[in-house]
This record gives sequence, structure tokens and C-alpha cells, in this order.
Amino acid sequence: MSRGIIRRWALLLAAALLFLPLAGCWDRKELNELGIIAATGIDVTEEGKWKISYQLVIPSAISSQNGFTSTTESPVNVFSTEGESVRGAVSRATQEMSRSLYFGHNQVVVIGERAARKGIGGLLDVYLRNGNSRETVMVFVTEGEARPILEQLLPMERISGNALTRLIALEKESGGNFRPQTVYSMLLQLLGPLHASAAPGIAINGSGEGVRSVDANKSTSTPSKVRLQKLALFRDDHMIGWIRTHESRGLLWLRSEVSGTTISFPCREGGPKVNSARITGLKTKMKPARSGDGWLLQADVEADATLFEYTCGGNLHDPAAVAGIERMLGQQVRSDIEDGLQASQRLKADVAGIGEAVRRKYPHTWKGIAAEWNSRFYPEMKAEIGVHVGLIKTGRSNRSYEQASEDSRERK
Amino acid sequence: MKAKEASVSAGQIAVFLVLFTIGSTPMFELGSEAGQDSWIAISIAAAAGFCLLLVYRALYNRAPDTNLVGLYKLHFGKLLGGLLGAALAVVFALESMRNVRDFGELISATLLPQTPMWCTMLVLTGIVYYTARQGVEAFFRVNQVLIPVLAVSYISLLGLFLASGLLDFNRLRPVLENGFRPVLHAAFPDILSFPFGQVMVLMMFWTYARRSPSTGAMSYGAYIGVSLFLIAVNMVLMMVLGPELYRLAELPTLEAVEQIRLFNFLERLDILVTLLLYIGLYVKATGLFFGSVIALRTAWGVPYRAGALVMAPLIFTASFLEPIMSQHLWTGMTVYLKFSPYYQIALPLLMLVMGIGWVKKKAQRQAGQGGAKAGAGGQAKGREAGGQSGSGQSGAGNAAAGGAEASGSGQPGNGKAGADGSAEKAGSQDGQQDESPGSDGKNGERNKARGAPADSDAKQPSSGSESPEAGST
Amino acid sequence: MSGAQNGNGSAENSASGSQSHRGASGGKDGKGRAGSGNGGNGGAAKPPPLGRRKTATALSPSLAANAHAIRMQFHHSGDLRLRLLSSGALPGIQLAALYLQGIVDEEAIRKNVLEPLQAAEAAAPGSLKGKGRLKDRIEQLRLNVISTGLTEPVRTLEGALDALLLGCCLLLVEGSDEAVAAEAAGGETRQVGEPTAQTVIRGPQHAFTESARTNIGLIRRIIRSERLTVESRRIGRETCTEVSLLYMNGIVDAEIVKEARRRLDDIDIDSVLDSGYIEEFIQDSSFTPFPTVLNTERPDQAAAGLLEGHFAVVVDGSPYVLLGPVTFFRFFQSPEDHYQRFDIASFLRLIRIAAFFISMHLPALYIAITTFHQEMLPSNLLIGLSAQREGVPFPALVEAFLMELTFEVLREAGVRMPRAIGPAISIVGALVLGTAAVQAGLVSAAMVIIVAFTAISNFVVPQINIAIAARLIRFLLMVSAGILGFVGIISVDLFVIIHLAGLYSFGVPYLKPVAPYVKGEWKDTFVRAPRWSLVRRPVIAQKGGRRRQPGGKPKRQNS
Repeated sequence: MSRGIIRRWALLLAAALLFLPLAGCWDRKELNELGIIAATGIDVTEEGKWKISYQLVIPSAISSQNGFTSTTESPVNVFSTEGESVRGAVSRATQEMSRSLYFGHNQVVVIGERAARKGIGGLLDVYLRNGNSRETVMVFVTEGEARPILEQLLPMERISGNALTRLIALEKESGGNFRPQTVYSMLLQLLGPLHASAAPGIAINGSGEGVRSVDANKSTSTPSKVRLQKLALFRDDHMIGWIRTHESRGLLWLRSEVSGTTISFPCREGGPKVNSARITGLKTKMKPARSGDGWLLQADVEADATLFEYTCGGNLHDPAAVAGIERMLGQQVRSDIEDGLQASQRLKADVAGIGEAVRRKYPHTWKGIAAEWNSRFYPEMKAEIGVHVGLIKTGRSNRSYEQASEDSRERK
Repeated sequence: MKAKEASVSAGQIAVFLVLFTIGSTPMFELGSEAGQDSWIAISIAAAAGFCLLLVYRALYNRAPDTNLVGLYKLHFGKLLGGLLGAALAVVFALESMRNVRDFGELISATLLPQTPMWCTMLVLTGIVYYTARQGVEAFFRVNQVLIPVLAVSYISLLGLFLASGLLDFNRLRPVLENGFRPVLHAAFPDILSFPFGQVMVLMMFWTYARRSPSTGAMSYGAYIGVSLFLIAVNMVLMMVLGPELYRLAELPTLEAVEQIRLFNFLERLDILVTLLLYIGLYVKATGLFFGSVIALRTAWGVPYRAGALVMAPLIFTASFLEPIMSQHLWTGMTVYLKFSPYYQIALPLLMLVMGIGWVKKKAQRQAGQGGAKAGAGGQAKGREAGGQSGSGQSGAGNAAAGGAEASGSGQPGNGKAGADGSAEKAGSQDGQQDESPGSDGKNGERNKARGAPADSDAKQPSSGSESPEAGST
Repeated sequence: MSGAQNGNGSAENSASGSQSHRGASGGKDGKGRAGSGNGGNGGAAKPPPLGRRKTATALSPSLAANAHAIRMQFHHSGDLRLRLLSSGALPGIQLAALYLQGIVDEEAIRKNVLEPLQAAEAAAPGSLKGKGRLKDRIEQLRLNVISTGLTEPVRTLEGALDALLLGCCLLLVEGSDEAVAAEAAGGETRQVGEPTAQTVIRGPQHAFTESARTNIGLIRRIIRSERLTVESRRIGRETCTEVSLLYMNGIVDAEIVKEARRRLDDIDIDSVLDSGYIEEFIQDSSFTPFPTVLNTERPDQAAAGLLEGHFAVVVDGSPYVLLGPVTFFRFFQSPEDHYQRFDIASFLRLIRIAAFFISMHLPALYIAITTFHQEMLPSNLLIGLSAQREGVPFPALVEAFLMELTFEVLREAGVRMPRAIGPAISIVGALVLGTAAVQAGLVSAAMVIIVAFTAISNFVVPQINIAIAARLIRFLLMVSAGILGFVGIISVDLFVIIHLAGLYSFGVPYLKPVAPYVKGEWKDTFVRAPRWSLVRRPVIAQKGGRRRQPGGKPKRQNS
């Protein structure tokens, strides 16, 4: 075959291939064909079917072509579908939705308590297996049903899905009671040697049914609000119970996952907690040790504190006063930690990760006890918590206001 | 009307080695049965691979003017050697096909789920074929362009991992929790065969760099570097995912990168990783494709362009042999892993042992038959007691590539030292004269007469690559 | 016919009978240098181009016959002037001066040919009957009397035609079959002005003109070195254009020059109207959007290229001089890089390269991200874009194509619009069209921004011919992005890289010094190192001629 003929055929083939685009572009999804989901809710109906709720974002209500935002349209729309399996439920959405659901920007998944107790293994598998669901999604658990949470509008935020992520991130930074829990870290913990994990709880507080329409935002205060409260503990893939907020904080102390929090503490032991300090720079060292047949945890907690509010007497230049404050702070922290430990021991779930420390230190022993760690050894573990808080900053005044006014009266 | 022989520098070989070995490795969970000790398994396999590399290089040094198939022919005779060479061509083609299929699976699993796989694989096959048409030198240059991209990307990813706080050293502990057994079991033969054993393909390319004295050293250096890199990557993955998740995920690198989330906008970077894998798969598929076509030509004299034209569609269609991904993986795990020790390890070792003493002399004798003696041949390992017969002239700085093949009668007069500078008029060692791929009828003369900008100094690393490669040999 | 070559007065065909140019005889006279029989061109004897003259007819001794033959060849064109005269040096013999009016300097003819002839005295009295004596006389005239720059004897009709066409004044002598051609080229040419397309802020502001003579002169004024070699030839059957190859002997690589010379000599073309014609012949590959030859209208850039080991091709009639061989990265170097300081120069160069890639990829990236990979966008951006695209009727790919094509039309129109209304219309067109389209809901605002930025980035590249490559590839990228998303973009990118890796420019790989990697080459590729450290010429220069200056930081007063 001469060069010319080959060339001609090759060109013909190339030209024919250029018609490929006409065959339809398989993966294309125009932006206006997408229904962007910002948050998902997982529930279980009485019949035991999965009920998935979606918080759909309406872009034109948030920002539009000409820069004018419409404030009369609700920025989100919530609807639910049911199905025997999780993805089966999702696929039912095509029966009522004109756009294809797009989970790529899903930030938050709220799991209702009933669904959590039933077991989230199927849900976790969906996240792992599918490419378009991200494991960076944040997990929340709520008492009751998840759908009402999705329907809530938060003040100052247009999309509550994003708002919740910001909420919990802020909580980690400043509040210290909870930390964001993603599907990824839940997976790591549940598949890890301890098979125990936790997720922050979320609920609607206040009166009434909640802020579900844009009109409610037209007044200066809303009758109810979404807030974080309580921690849900998981073992093996289903929820086993709640623990209180301050217990959650205690556990976070142990895991060194508190970035900053504000503690109220009393002047004297047992007194009213009228002072406060902000804790930063927390570090915990956990040393497990055998004690007889059981285990003993020796934990050393070190933290820095900045004084925020002070009503006791005494001069802050006095080392004794400082030592007193540090002592009080230390006691507060210790009691939080002990409460948290006891709560998780009660529920038989080692979410603090102490078993990990055991495994690292005594790998051979661990092999023998791993299976029964949660059920037997952990609940009976004793703990010796040593807390040392260093007061590094006392603020811009050297005495409390009460003290100062007392002093000024004396001088007269 | 003689085509100039392709000439490549030592640095280009090193770059190719790095890209090739990285290739599609991040796609797979290496050493997953060793749990958090997989990095130890990889280290052991890398060390073993280095020994293999030494073996290959020693074999190469016996006949620097030819490639692995030429070595087959020298060791086993023309007929058997030719058959082995053809078999090697098939093996390389199959491995190239596997990479094409990997690519199809990867894209289908991550970026383009609805697009039919034949489309994406056709694209990759087309690109591979086009590279082959441009020639070996062009391919190595492409590698040089690609490596900064890969380097910057991987380093940025590492930085992002560090910055996002996803790395947890504790996930690597306890070290050697289950002892050495699972580690060794993971290392051999799995990790040794893939990816380290595949450096065998270098033996097809070393001959193009024979004018550069530091090829061996740079190959070793590149190998060590890339091994360290792979070990580091594995450690990072383990630190992010932990052993269970690492084992569970089909594509652990993607899984790990998906978790990066910084500053509220830097997220969803797994697309970047997919593209890096694309580049890696391309380099692998093309390198193996070249190996296959060159092997075919050295074995049976199939002209380069015809070989490429035939092989490409073959590879494309063969990639559909396995209907589904799990089958594809199974084939890789069992079939390939069972056979690869034979041609990667056993055969070269056999050749190494049985060829002591006589092969080198035979090679040099054949080099002498084609004309002037081969100059400056030897990185001699001093095996032969009788000394290198050809080395008497090794001092001669003739840049003549004598090496006529055993099969073809070397073109008389080919062996004459090239008159002008670096322009090699000598035919390729297997006596094939091919037209430059880029030349058509009327441009043909122009291509042939391209003068080599005179860097006649053979020492300069870039010199080889300057001589316009009018088509690979 | 070698006979015709020597032209030793062998009158094969009579002058009147030789009309045919399509003869089997003759042929390639073009190869010879110093074709003294056929030359008669002004200046250094440059042979006529290939295939131009197929025959060689001798002149006749009769002046009238010659004049008639010449006039016939010109079809009695009105601008062929004939002036009869007589000279004291050849008493009694009729002389005639012919010239083509528009291309000669009539003043020079008058002063240097006509006046001296008329004023000349008879040199030696004596009989002029013998032919030989006449010849000597004419030779004397030629040497002593005619005072133009160069004179040549002409023996054939074709030679006479060529002489006239190239701006010589032809002197016919009654009774002699040999004529004299005196160089008198002139005519209006453009003054040396400012560059129109390749402007810089700081640096010399002169540009090449259409006259090769002037252009070579401009270069000579910059490079005052005897190593600067000029080799001229004529190319183009009908245009006989003077094409000169310039190079620095001792710096440039001999192989490259040989190749360039060979390619130039191989050209057999009808006409050469611009250096672009030559470029298309000598470039390495026609089927690539990437240029392998650089063109410049700045003498300083040409001189810089010559000093670095490139060769230059000056084409008469074109203000654009070709430079070769050239690599990909050379196209991003603006002469200004070398006149400003190195830090700003490096910064701007990096921006240029970035702009080049942006102008290729931006629309494709937009298409890929918004239709395939929406996860890559931050949520807020995604929502904003979604809101913009509500109600837009076209898919992103179609939208992009529409806007891009609109912009190309606008750009092309802007080139041709009259100066007075040009800028206004283009601004109005862009703004109004863009904004109105957005408000009408035909396209989304983001698309307009992207197209505008792409177009602007395209102009950043100093050399237009490679910016064109970006424009063309951009469409290919858009299509592939529309089909396969990022995979498509990367595929086309790989394809282009492979293509570039296999491209050569006169034997030099196109992607030098990145690939093949050359260690010392990077001082002027992506960034520009300080001038005192640019010690060596680029690798395309000869090995021996690499070192150009001693190097080292200049000494300071207080260090």
C-alpha cells in the first residue's frame, strides 16, 4: 500500500472520530442539571426501612446572575425518600426530583438515634464504596428524627449544611466540648483495634417546632435554635448510648483534642464557680500499666491557662494565689476527665483510645485481651489522673475587682 | 538513506527509570498483608530488586551494543534466542496492555464513571502509539518534561498531608507486630515482581545510552532514589489510613488524598492524584510498548514502524480480554506473579551464570565482523581471563558503533568511524535501517541530512541527545 | 548548455528569434556563483533563481535590434526608458541607455552614467574599426568613465533583461554584442521607523524596512565584526527576490549553516512576497502549529540572535527577518528582557510563560470543572456559578465555543478597521456584546470573564506566531475537555508534549534545554540571570565559540 493511500484512510478515520462528541458526552453534567445537596439525614422508619432526607440548595436564592439575592425564597429545600437499602432510597429520589442529586458537596450527615442504634454499617459501606460521597463528611447524631434538623435555618447562614460544619469547627477551637467527627475518622476508629467511636449530638432547643421558614428570620429573635449537646457513643457499628457534654469534654482532654476551652472554677473547693480561665496548649500522656489482674491508667495532663474572670481575693502577683488558681483549675479538669472516663466505662466503649496505648506498649499482651477489652478490662480499669495547669497569663489587672474595691475602701 | 541511531543520555535513562517505577504503583496496595509493616516489606523487596538490577547491568555489559534480545541470541543461539525474543516481545506487550487496562479501570472508577472504557483506553493507546512514531529520543525527552510535574505534585501532596494533620505516626506502630513472616511473604514474590522487577525493561534501552559513561551509576542512583520515594509514600499512606483501611480500599492513595481538607477550599485533590497516575501509566505503557516493538525487531527483524502499527491495535483489543475488573486484578495477581519470576529473575540469572567467559568474547567478535572494531566498549567486569580482545582498541576514540548483530550481516562500511562529529552513520546493531517516522516522501531527504549540531565530544551528557534522532532505531 | 554559461559571444540564436523561455536547453544556471555571462545583476553577482531563465540568447551587435528585442520582451511597457546618446570617448558610435523608470535612481544615472559619458574625451585616437578595439574601448568606458558603484558586462538578452529588472542602467553600444550594466538601483523606500508589532519600552526603537540593503546595513551597524558573513542569492522565478543568509562565522555551528544553505538553495518558487514564504519552505515541519523559525522586525533582536549562534535570513521586500534554529523557549524571550534588570526581566518572563499556558487551558479548564468535576470547586463558588447558569440555554461547551469564536471575529475585525473608528468599535463590541449577552441570559458572566482573560493572556507572548499555536490548540483542548473532562485535557497536553519532543528546528531539538536536559543552559530560559553571569553562549553555537565574556561580578567601588 502506498503511503498516500494509508494517509488518506488514516485521515478519514480521524475525521470520523471527530464525530465522537456527537455520540453524547457520557459523563457531562451541566451545572443547571445538578441538585446540590448540602446535608443529609439518615433515619429509620417504624417498618425498618431507611429514610434518607436531603437538604437541597437553591442557588438562585443565594446568589444570582446580577448580584441581587432574593430574600423571599428559602435557600434550601428538604425532602425525604425511603428504601430498603441506603442507595435504594437515594435512587427513589428521581421519582420526585427534576435534577440529579449531587453529593459531592455534601458536608454533613445527621443520623437519627433510631438509625444509629440500628447500625450504621451499611451507611459506612456506602461512603467507602462510592466515589462521589466524601469521607470528609461530618457526622452528627440526634435524638429523635434527623429530618427536622435539616429543615432548620440558622441565623446569618444561608446554607445550614455549611453552617453546621462551621459550627462544630468553632466549637473545637473555642468551646472544647466536641470535635468534628468525620466518616473517615469514624471508620478508622471502628475498624481499629478498639471498635469504638463517638459522634457529637445535635438537637433543636427552644420552644415550638423550629425555624423553618424565611419569615421567621424577619424578627429579631428566633423561637428555637440548633445546638450541639451530648455525645453519642458507638461500638462496633451501632450506637450504645449518650454521655453528657462535660463528660465528652473530659474524654477530649484525654485524647489531647481540645484546642481551647473555657473552664469555670471556684475560689475555694466546693464553692460557686464564679471564675473562669481559658485553657490552651493541652497535652496528655497516657501510660497504661498492669495492676494485678486489671489495668491502671496513669495519665499526665499538662495545660496552659489564661485567666479570664476572677472574683476571689488576693493579689495575682502572689505566687500563692496563682498556685491556688492552678490547683482549682486542675481539680476541675480532673473531675471532668474522671466523669468522662466513668461514663464511657459505664457504656463499655473505649472511645478515649486507651486500648491503643496498651497495644503499643504491650503488643503481645494485647493480642490476648483485645477481644475482651471493651467488655471486661476497660470498664474495670482504674485511673490515676495527674493534672498540672500552668497559669501563663493573668490578664491586664493584677487583682480582682472585688479585691480592688475592698482595698480602696480600706485606704480611706 | 541510513537512519541515524537513537542516542540517549544517562540522565534521560535515570529520569525514565524513576517515572517508570513510580508508574502506577500508587494505585495498588503494596504489601497490604504485612499491615503497618508494609514499608519494611517494600524496603526488602527494593533491596532485592537492586541486586536484580546489578545482574541486569552485568549482563548488559557483556554486549553493550545490543539489548536483551541480542543477549538472548548470544547466549542461546540465533534460533532459540529469536524465539525467546519474540516471547519477550509478547510479554512486554501484555504488560503494556495491563497498564492500558489499569488506566481504563482507574478512570472509570474515579473521574469518568459513565464513559465507556474503550474510549479512554483508545485515547491512551493512541498516545502511546504516537509516541512510538515519534521515536525513542522523543519519548525520553517527554519524560524529562514530565518529571518536574510529578516531582512538584508529589512534594506538594506530601506537604499538604503534613499541614492537614492527617499523619499519625502511631499508626505505624507497633512495628513488626506479627513478626517477620508476613513481611517476607508480602515482599516475595509480589513486590519484587511489581514494581521492582519491571526495571528489566531498562535492558532494552541501555544500549542507546552507551556513549555516556555514567549510565550505570545514574541508573543505580535513580533506582535507589525511587525506592526511597516509594517507601516514603507507603509510610505516608499507612500513617493516614491505618492498616485496615489501607487493606480495605481499592485505591489507597486516592482514599488518603481524599481526606485532605485545608483552609476551607483546598480539598478534593484526588483528581490531581488521578492525573499523576495517568502520567505514570502512560510512561509505563509506552516504555513497555517500546520494549516490545524493539524486541520484535531485534528478534525477527520486524521493521520498527510495522511492528508498532501491528502492536498497538493488538494491545488495544487485548485489553478487553478480561471482562471485569476483579478478573483483571486476579489475572495480575496470580498469572503474572506466577510467571514473572521466570523471566525476571530466573532467566537472567541463568544467563549470567552460564555466559561467564565466552559471551563477551563472542559479542566482540561479532562486532568485529561488521567492520571496524567496536571502540570504547567496555565497562568490563573483568570476567574474561584472556582480556578483552576488543579492548585493545578501546582507547580509540572512534565514535563508531560497530556492533553488527549476529543475525544480520552488518552493512559493510558501517563500522567505519563516523566522519563528522557525532553523526553516526552506522546502522543500528541489529542491522535494521528504518526510515525516520516523521519523514514523508518529500521531507525525507531533509530529515536525513539534518546535521548534528556539532558536539562531537562524547563525554558531554547532552551530546547524545542532540544528534537528531531521525527515528528510533 | 554550458555554452550559454560562459556566454563567450557565441551567438547560437539570433536575438530576435529567441523568444522562447520554455526551452529544453539551458536550465539551471542558478547554481553557479559569479555567473559572469548571465549575471549583470547589480551588486555582487547573484545568480538568478532556479528555473527562471531557461534559455540564453546572445545580444546582437545592432543596437536597434537589441533595443527592439528588449522592448518586445517588455511588451513595450511605458516605464522602459531609452535614451540615445553619444560619447566623446566613442566618437561616431551610437549609444543608448535603457532603464526602468520606477526602480532606478534617475539622478544617479544622470550624474554617473550620462554625464560622464557625454563629457568623456576620446582616450586614444586611432582606428575603431576592429571589433576587438571596440571591445576594449567599451571595457575602458565601463571601468573608467561610468562612475556608478558596480558595472558588469552583459552578453545575453536574458542577462540584459535581468539587469534592467534589477535596477541597472543598461548601456547598449552600436556595433557591439556586449552591453554594460551599471548599478543604479533606487526608488522610494520606507524610512527606518519604529517597530509596529514588537515594541519594547526600553531599548532601541528602530525596525527593519522592506529593503534588504538597509536591513543588512542596520545589522552591520550593530555587529561590527568581520565575522558577520552575508551570503546572498536570488529566489523566486518572477520576483527574483534577494534573500541573504547571515551568520557569525566561528560562532554558529557549521552544520546548521550548511543545512540552512541547502534548504534555501532547494527553494524553487514562483514568487517571494514576504519572508513568510521563505519560512514555509525552510521550516522543519509543515504539519505543526508550532513555528520552528523565529521572525523579528527588530535589528537588535536579530543581532542578538546572530551573536548567540543563530543564523538570519533577510528577504528583500519584507521587514521581517527570519532567525533559526529556534527552540520553544526562545519564543518567550522578549528583547526587553535583556534591557531591563534581571529581576524584573525574570518575573515578566515567568508571567509570559504562565500566560501562554493560561491562554491555552483556561476555557478548557472551565468546561472540565463545571461539567465534569464539580467537586473541585469550593462550595460557595459552585453555588455562585450554579446561580449564574440558571436559565442559560447552552451547555458550557457550546457557550465557550460561541464566545471564543465571537472574540476571534472581533479580533480579526479589529485588525482591518480604519484607524479612526477601530479602537472604539472593538471596545464597544467587546463590552457591549459581552455585557448584553450576559444580561440577555445567553451566556454566563463567568464565561465572559474567562474568554476576556484568555484573549488578553494570548497577547502577552512576545512572538505572535507561537501565540497562534496557543489559539489553535485552545479549541482542541476545549473539545476534548467537553468530551472527557480532565482526562481529555491531560491527553491533549500529553499529545502536544510528545509532538514538541519530536520536533526539530534545523537539527536542534525543539524543547532544549528542558529536554534534552542541558545543565548550563538555564540562565536564560525561564529566568534571566544577571548579565555578568551569562558567560557562555547557548548550546546551539559551536563548541569552540561558546565563551563570550570573562564573566564574574563587576567590581564595585566599595567592596
